[in-house]
Amino acid sequence: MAARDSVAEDMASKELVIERVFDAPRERVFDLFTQAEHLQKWWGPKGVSMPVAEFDARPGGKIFIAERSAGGAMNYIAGAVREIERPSRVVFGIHFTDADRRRVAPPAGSGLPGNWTEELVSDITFSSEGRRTRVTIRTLSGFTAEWGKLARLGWGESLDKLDQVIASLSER
Amino acid sequence: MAVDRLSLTFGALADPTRRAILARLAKGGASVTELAEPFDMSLPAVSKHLKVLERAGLVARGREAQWRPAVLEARPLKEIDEWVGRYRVIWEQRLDRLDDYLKELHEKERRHGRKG
Repeated sequence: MAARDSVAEDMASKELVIERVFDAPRERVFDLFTQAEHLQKWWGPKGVSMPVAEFDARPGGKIFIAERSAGGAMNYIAGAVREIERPSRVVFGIHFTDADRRRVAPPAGSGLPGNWTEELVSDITFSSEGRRTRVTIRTLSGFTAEWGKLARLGWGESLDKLDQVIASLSER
Repeated sequence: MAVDRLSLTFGALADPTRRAILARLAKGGASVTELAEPFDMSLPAVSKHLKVLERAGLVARGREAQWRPAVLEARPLKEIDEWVGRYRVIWEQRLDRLDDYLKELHEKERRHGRKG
């Protein structure tokens, strides 16, 4: 059953992969990802200052980020380092909290569904390409990406349905 | 897309049996009896899962046939796909800022005479 195999295969690679090459050595790029004073400079959305950033770069080390939005509202993100090996790999999981670091539902405007309860896990690898460094971020492992892929499969297999969906969307 | 709608979709997808039912329906419509077979579940139990999927808009039930086959509705899944796309954008923008920051650091070091 070829169709079944391709579904199974697609569902096995259930994550979002983002890659970027930076013009700097691996150690430097790794440090920018794993040192609070650097994270503070680039992690948050544009125009948002980050009054607090903690990143305890060891296995089990705590992560805490307080972001102030342009309007003054605060968002808090907490989590922990799962694996870390300078300069090749870091894995961490994060979630939203209140100021006292108690887990809360993702705030409006975070883009996440209100009942999202899973850790947002990012697995980041750093590999040398001459004097440059390729960063590969694997994230959203879990059913999110899995079902995004199934959606594409479902559409590919049923063109009639695709037409209907497009029609219903353009009616709005 | 309303976040409540997305929450409903995620809620329905949180259960592994319901995900397996959807995976089966991705290959074509099926009756409750056909869906129950691989799961070793009672028909009422399968019907209950189907109702949750229906409420989330992930499944539609045919009305024409006596056995009311369940079919996959792709749209909520497509919305999740779009959400994944937005999450990708958040990371891409973050990496843009990292690139800018890296250039700033280079520049600062260059000015301090630590030429690389």
